[in-house]
Amino acid sequence: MLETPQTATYYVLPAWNEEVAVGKVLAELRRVDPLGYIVVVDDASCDETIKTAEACGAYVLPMVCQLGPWGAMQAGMRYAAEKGCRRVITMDADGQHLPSQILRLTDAMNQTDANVVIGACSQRGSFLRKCAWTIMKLCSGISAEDLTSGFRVYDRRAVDLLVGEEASYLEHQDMGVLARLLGNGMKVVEVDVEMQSRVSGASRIFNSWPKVLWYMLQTLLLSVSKRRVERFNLEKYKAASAHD
Amino acid sequence: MTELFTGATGLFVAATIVYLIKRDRLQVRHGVSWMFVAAMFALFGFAPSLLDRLAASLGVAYSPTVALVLGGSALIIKAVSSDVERSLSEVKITRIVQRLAMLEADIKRLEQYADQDRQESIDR
Repeated sequence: MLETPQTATYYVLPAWNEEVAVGKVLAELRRVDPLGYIVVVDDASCDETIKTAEACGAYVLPMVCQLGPWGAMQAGMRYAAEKGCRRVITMDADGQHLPSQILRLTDAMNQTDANVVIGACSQRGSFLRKCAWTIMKLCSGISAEDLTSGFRVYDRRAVDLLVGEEASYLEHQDMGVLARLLGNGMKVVEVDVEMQSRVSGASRIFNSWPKVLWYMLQTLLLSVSKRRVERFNLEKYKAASAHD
Repeated sequence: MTELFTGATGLFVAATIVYLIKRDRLQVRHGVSWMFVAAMFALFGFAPSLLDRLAASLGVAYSPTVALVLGGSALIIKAVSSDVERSLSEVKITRIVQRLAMLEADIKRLEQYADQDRQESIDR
C-alpha cells in the first residue's frame, strides 16, 4: 500500500448516488483542511459519484457491490488505518454535515482526551427518528443525544477497534459501534454541531415505515444483546463560541 | 410397513448426502450432521421398539411425539447453525469487497503517479 505521513487526518465519506452533493462537500472540506486525506467510499452508486469525487482529488474506494452504510464506512476506516492515520473523521457526503463544524469536533477531542467525539444535532430528528432514539436509549442503556449521527472523530485506538473482523458483523454505525466502543473502555464525548438538510437523496433508513420497522427490530435486538449492567451516559462537551 | 417406509426414508436421505458429497455439491462438514439425522430416521424406523422405550423412559404416552419433537429440534438447531455459517460467509465477503476497493484505489493512485512521471520525462 502507498505510504502517507503518520500524523495524517483522514476524512471518510461513504457515498451512494451523491453526484449532486459530493462535489460541493469535498470542495468545502478541502478549503477547511487543505492537507487532509479525503476518502470517498462509493457504495456501488449508479450515477457519476466516482467521477465527481475523483475530479475533486479524493481517494475513491469503489465497492463492487453495496455493503450498506457501515460496511462502506468501515472500508474507508480500514484504508485510513492501513495508511497509518492518526485520526479519522467520518461525515456524510450528502451535505448534511458541515465541514465548517469539524473544528468543534477536533477541539472537543483535544480538550477532553476522548477517543471518539460525536457531532450531535438533536433538532434535526424527525418524529420517527426521535421515537427510534428514545426506544434505543432505553434498551441499550446508552444515553446519547444523537445516536445516529455519522459526523464523528475517531482516534487511532478507536479506529483500530472498529476495523477488526468482529465489527464487520454490524450493519449500522449507531448502537453496535457505540456499544463496542464503550464496552472496550473508550471515552466517547458528544458536542453540539450545526447540520443542514441533505442537498440530495433521502435517508436510507428513515424514509419509509417498513424500513424503519425493520431497522428498529434489528437495532433493538442488537441493543438488548450488547447491553451491559452499567449505564453509559456520554459526556457533553460545550464548545467555545470562538469556533462558531 | 410403516417401519419399512420410515427406515427406507432414512437410508434415502443418507444416500442423497453421500451422492451430494461425491459430486462436490455439499461440503463434508455439513454432511455429517445430516448423516446423523438420517441414521436416527433409519434406526427408529427399522426398530420402533427403541422409540417406544425412549418415550416410556421420558414419560411420553404416544411415542411418535418424541420422534417429532426430536426431529423438529434437530431441524431448528441445523437452521440456526446454517445462519451462523451464512453470517460468517457474509462477513468474509464484506471484508473481501472492502479489500478489493482499497486495492483499486491504490492501483488508480499508482497509475496517476506513473502518468505524471511519464509526462515529466517527456517534458524533459
